[in-house]
Amino acid sequence: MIALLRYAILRSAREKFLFALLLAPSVMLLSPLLAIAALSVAKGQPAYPMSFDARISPAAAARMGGEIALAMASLAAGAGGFWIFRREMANRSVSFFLLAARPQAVAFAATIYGFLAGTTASLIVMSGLAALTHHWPASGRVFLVAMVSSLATSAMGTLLVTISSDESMLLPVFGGSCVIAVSLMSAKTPAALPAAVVAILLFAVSSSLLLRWRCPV
Amino acid sequence: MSEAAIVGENLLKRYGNVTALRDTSFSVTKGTITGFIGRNGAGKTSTLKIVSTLMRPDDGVCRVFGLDVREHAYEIRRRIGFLPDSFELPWSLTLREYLDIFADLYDIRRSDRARRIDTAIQLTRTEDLADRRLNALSRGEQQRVGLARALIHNPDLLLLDEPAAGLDPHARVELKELLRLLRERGKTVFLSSHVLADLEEICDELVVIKAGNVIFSGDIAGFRRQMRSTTRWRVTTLGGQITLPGNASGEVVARSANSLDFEGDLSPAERARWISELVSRGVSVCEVSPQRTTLEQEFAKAVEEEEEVEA
Repeated sequence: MIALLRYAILRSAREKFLFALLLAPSVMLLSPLLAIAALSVAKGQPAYPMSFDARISPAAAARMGGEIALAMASLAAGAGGFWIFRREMANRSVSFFLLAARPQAVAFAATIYGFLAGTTASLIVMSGLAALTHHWPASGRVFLVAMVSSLATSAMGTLLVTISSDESMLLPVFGGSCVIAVSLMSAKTPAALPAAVVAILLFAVSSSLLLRWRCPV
Repeated sequence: MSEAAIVGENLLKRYGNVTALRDTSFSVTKGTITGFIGRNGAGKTSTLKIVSTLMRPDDGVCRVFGLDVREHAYEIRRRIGFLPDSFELPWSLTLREYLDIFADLYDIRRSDRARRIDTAIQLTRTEDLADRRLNALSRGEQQRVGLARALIHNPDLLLLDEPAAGLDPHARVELKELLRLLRERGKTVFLSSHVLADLEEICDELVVIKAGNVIFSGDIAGFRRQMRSTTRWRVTTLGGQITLPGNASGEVVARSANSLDFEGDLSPAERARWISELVSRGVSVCEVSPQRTTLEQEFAKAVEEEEEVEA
């Protein structure tokens, strides 16, 4: 699995889409803050720490932005799990991997790749938010939930690419990722996390079985 | 008795309503180069996918080195190298990086990897591509890279689906040299190709498939025997009327001023008698030589005969 992860990271870095996954949440969330900052500088009233609105405190802006950022990072994780071996699935060169490694190794590598991309993206965006608002945007618990959410969306992305490698499958990937992320972030009961872990296992086992079915072991 | 690397028994494969393989049986002897010939859609790729464990047969048994493809797929995969007819490469990686990842996937120890990669690169003559990204490759270069990947774990059996397709004559010569070298090293090669002249040159055995049925599996001489091939003899003279030998059983298939082509079986004694007869009639005989039919002609004949039987 390490070799597959190495392949995934090397290829996605060379082809630049790793950077898109890592930076998309930051660009989407931090650019409004930076625009507001630029406007305030232009008006000759620079303000630090920053906020999305004068009526919201920087701490509240950090908290609110943090939750949106973590949800976006889950989307990035889902997209990563889906996209990393999409081309190999589409052109069937995934068979070369399946001749050399077990199907579950291929499925897990895609899931771990998406998870790492999502988690790194959330760290980048939270660091950016913290720097601009001067407040750490998420508690440890929220960050843990975000990590579980990234793992779940990535596993779902991997499952969807084993069903179909068509680009239009990105729609269910994003839709499903939103549902998973929002459900986990807004869950009030502690049962949400174990349920997410069960979903992750189900997604992972199903993707392995689908790969096995396409290429039986 | 020679050991079999691949044995297929009564293989059946259907895609919906289309039957790709029907009751197909064949074998490939260990340490040989075996050609797999048939028209497009005859079932070659399906057979190769079953042998490579990438596809399960609907019925029948396929064993590779004695291991059933259904039950021992993982063990078989470790012993085979597969080059499909068309494939894509990750354009952003260099050949060395690509091979290193596969060497790692095949659990080749880190200390051995560099040597294995160098060997695969040397064997496939891809030195010029080693540190280049795998983009904008010609068909020949792509095939060589695919072969390097298929060879990285030093497999015992190499399955090649149309490896010569799209290769220029020079690249085809190199491919044949490589396959001969692999045979010398004890490897078994099972390859499909439409370039029958190349197969005739390098293959020890043949599997001939038509519409999902294997109609021959064995050595090339056996195929010719099965086709009941008669030899074509060409008599070349400096002039004079060329007549057939006294008790000839065969037919004249071509005639010109100074030569005659005769298709039939002639023993050495009959040939000697024929030459004596011609010489005694004052014909200056330059040469009596056998004109072998090509594998391509034999294959066409085999397919035609099958079609006649079916009709």
